[in-house]
Amino acid sequence: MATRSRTFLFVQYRNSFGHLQRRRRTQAADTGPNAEEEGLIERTNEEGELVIELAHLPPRWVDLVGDFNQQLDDITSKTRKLEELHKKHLLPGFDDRSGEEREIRLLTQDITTQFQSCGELVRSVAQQQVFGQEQTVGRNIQASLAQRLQEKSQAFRKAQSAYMHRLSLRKDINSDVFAVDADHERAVSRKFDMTLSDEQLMAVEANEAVISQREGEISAIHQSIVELAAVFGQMQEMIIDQGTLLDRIDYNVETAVVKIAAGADELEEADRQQKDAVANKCIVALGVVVIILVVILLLKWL
Amino acid sequence: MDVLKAAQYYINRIITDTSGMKVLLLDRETTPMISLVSTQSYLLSKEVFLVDRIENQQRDTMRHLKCICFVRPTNASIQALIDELRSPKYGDYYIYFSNILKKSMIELLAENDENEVVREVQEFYADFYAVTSNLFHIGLVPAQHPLFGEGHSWNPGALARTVQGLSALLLSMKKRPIVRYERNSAMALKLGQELEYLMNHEANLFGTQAASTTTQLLLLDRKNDPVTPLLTHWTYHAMLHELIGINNGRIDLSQVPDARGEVKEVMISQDQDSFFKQAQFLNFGDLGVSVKEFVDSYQAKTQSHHRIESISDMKRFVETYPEFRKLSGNVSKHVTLIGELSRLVSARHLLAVSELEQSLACNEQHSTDLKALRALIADARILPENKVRCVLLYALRYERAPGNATAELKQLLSSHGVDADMVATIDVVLRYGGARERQSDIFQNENIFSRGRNIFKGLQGTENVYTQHTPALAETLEQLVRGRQVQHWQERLPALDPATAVQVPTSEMGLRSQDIIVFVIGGATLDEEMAVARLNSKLAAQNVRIVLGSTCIHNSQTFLNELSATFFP
Repeated sequence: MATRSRTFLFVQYRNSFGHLQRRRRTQAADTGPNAEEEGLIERTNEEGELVIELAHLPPRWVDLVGDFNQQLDDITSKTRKLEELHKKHLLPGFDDRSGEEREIRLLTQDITTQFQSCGELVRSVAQQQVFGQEQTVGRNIQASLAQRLQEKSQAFRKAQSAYMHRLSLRKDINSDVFAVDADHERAVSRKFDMTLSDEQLMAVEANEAVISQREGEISAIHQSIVELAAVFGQMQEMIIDQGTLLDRIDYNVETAVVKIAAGADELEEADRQQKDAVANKCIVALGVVVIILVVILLLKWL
Repeated sequence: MDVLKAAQYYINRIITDTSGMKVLLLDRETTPMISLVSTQSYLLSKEVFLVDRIENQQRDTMRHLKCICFVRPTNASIQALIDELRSPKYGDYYIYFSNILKKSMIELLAENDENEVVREVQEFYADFYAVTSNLFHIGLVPAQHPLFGEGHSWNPGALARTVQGLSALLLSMKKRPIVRYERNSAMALKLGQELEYLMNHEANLFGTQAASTTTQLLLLDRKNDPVTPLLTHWTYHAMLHELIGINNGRIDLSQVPDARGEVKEVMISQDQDSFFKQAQFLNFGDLGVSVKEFVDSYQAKTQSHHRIESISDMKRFVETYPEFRKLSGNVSKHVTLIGELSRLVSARHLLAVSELEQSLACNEQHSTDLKALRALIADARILPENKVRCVLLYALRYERAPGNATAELKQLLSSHGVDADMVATIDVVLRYGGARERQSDIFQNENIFSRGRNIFKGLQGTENVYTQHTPALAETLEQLVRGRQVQHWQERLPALDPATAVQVPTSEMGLRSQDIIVFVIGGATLDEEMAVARLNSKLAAQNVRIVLGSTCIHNSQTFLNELSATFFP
């Protein structure tokens, strides 16, 4: 897959032409009488009005895309961190892990809200009043951002549900273990006068606390998945369906040309109609004036 | 040796080499080229936020976007670029040309780049239409770019374009092949000479000829096998092209009576459509089975989606929803297409027609064929086009047979109300690819050995009467790869440069690895693509890779139209 760069040759040619042009320009400037008086910024046009050239301000979506990229990068790093935490958390261990769990929960919430704000950003791209090709660009940007967000959020949700699945598996196993324990305990306690010692009670309570905490965790993750699903649904409408005609490049180019032409036609039509409306109003107004004047004239005669 | 991959590599480089928000400007020809190998959503994912034609004068100024131009180095495109550079509408310009640039073009561009906005000028050799991984064409659509000058000679514009397209393909594969051509074809010789000249002239691009090169470029001429484009083919891809018509991956369904509103036009692509990729070479019967399975699997999925009871069902639904939607679009597309195909097959009585066509193309039975042909012409239910094609096959096969009844059949056609212009195409095709013009024995009836082989083949029996015929290309390639009939083939396909002798594999088992690029002057058919694909998969273990190219992709109608325009008596 050979390629060849002609940039060097091009720049060489350009420089040689550039030399000529610049020399010509400097010569012209030298011979000009007021070369030194020419301002750097201020310039007046033929009517003597002051002209300050304003740089084209880029439309707002340029910033929006920047924001979006930043947020998405942020999400990526956070998800990576979360994955590590998940892995660590799923390993069996004996130390106190409430801190770890809280961290996971916070991070999950964080990522979810960030996804939501990304969704907001994407929607706000389309809410601007622009015309012509800017509109096409805006729509394309929206589709592109939505697509990327979709990919990211889908991956995230898959990871979350996988984690949740494994967590709930572990819960089952644990409860099974506890169940055996409980049977055993019951048997034991039946033997020993049906009473639990204080230590045993403590252990059971601790187990219950662990279980309820884990349930809380799971429901929190669940919540985040549901919230993400909402974002996902909104984005789905903006994405181009792959494998359809809408995904063809030439189709889009053609329709863009057609649409622009149609838009121009419509504008002309509207313009004409508006002009017609003004003219009609004038005619009506003048007619009314004529009638009034005639009436006045008649009154004067009578 | 995958044309699709090669083109995709270039497109990918073009849009990812520059980061940030971009505009992509294309010209009249690069638009369909890029559309065949890439998609809008892919461009969007690489931050290409606007795609437009460079000739479009009504583009808005957007200085905050970078501009990538991918154009062919034609005068029109260069002029449009100059206009653009004189009053730049975008920020920086990265210009990619799809072929070798002339120095004068670079100079002209440099001269007009007064604002110094151009950052890069590159040559990326994606100057061909990659239809599937084995098949490319140059885009010489007969209606716009006539191929022939006068009789069997090149139209100068078409020759220049073909040389450009082929050289770009060779560069994209990084090959400098041994060029071989069909001895009886002046067009193939001319094309070979032009290519050889270009390869020597641009030696630093193509590299010098390696003594042990294993790549061959075969230049074939359609006139040596006029039969294949005249037959009714029964594979999915070929049927779509023959009966409905494919234009660079797009199928226009506006003529189809029962198409629903939203599917006026559909697209097929090996790359994005897994069902099509899998069913491309299936014959019509197997296609029915396969689409049934496809619909069944879709139904099973729909049912599982209807049953949403718990949160986890819901979750699963949302996760698979995009895929599901894609699948449902795909199912309805293929069902519509196949429905239309089967409607056309029964409406035009194509099974009966095809049976006769195959018999004419494969078996030597003059009197039975003639009788069947007379009955076919008398049958009012059969389209005149099909009648003419059958007579054409007859005329080609029995051109030198004693008792040839072509003249009588022509009269018979006229008396059954077939248009005089259509009857005249019979003479046109005989002038183009009659026995006098051909060198190969496509009907295997010219000498006693091939007759014997033919009879033997007949004795073996056939599995399917509708698919007996294999294109002559398949046999040529197979013998070439196996190195059989060396003397004979060397005679028929001499190398352009006699110094580069083509090495011959020593034995049947010792197939050496080689790459073959076949280029058919005057249009390839999708049936030949299937032959190439089969050979490729059969010989993959031996490292034999074959790519088929052509000036355009023909179906019977475009083939006859093109010939009528040039060879009209």
